Amino acid sequence: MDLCELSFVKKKLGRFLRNDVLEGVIKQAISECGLIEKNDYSVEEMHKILERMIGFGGFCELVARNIKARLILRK
Amino acid sequence: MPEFKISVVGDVSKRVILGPTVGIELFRILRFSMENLILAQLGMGKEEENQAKANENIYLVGKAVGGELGKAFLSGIDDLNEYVTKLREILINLKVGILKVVSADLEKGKIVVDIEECVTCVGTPNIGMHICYFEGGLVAGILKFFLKKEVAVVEVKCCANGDNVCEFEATVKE
Ligand SMILES: [Zn+2]
Repeated sequence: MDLCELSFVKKKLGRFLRNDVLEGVIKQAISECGLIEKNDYSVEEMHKILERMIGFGGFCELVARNIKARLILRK
Repeated sequence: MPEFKISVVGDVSKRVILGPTVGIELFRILRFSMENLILAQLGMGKEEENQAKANENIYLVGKAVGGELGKAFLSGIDDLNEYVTKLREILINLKVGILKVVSADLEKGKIVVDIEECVTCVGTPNIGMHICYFEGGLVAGILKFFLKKEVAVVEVKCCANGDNVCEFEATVKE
């Protein structure tokens, strides 16, 4: 599973958030970025989604910061 | 009582006989074991840098918990005084400590709060350090939820540094 796959983000969020809540925040982040829901995103798109998730605060922010740091370190 | 949307919290009402709280000793042992585990995983050599990284991680966990506390208990409040009053109640109920606002200047983006009887540091020996990164993060996450802006929090007084209270300075980022 890759860092830019939505299933990866969902899996990590699923450690903390209830499924219904998780689906809601992911949908919101994606639509606020003006993107459509799919599984594979580009690095730039994933950074945008993660930025939105950081803005939501809570465990959503913690998970997003973690994935973002890993994305940056991977380059 | 509104519910946490964090799945790991589960239904605490199922703990019928013992109730929803745990001992402070367990909290502290767990808190410092986590810190030591992070430090051990970072390895030897760069002690100061590693300590800063561990502190940062504990702060981020506190910030996440603060954000979730906001969502669970403080949604829909748009008056700062009301927010702080409710927050004080919640932090007392969760036995984190007794919150007091020392000063709040939203125009300058500076808020200073005290936490008396802090869950992490009250009664610990003076080791000349500020150790309440979890609580600092907690304040940051809770303020971020209210202000909808990034907030950075620094602990400026701590019982582990010989003070009689924990004090946190919050700076709102534009
Ligand atoms: Zn302290």
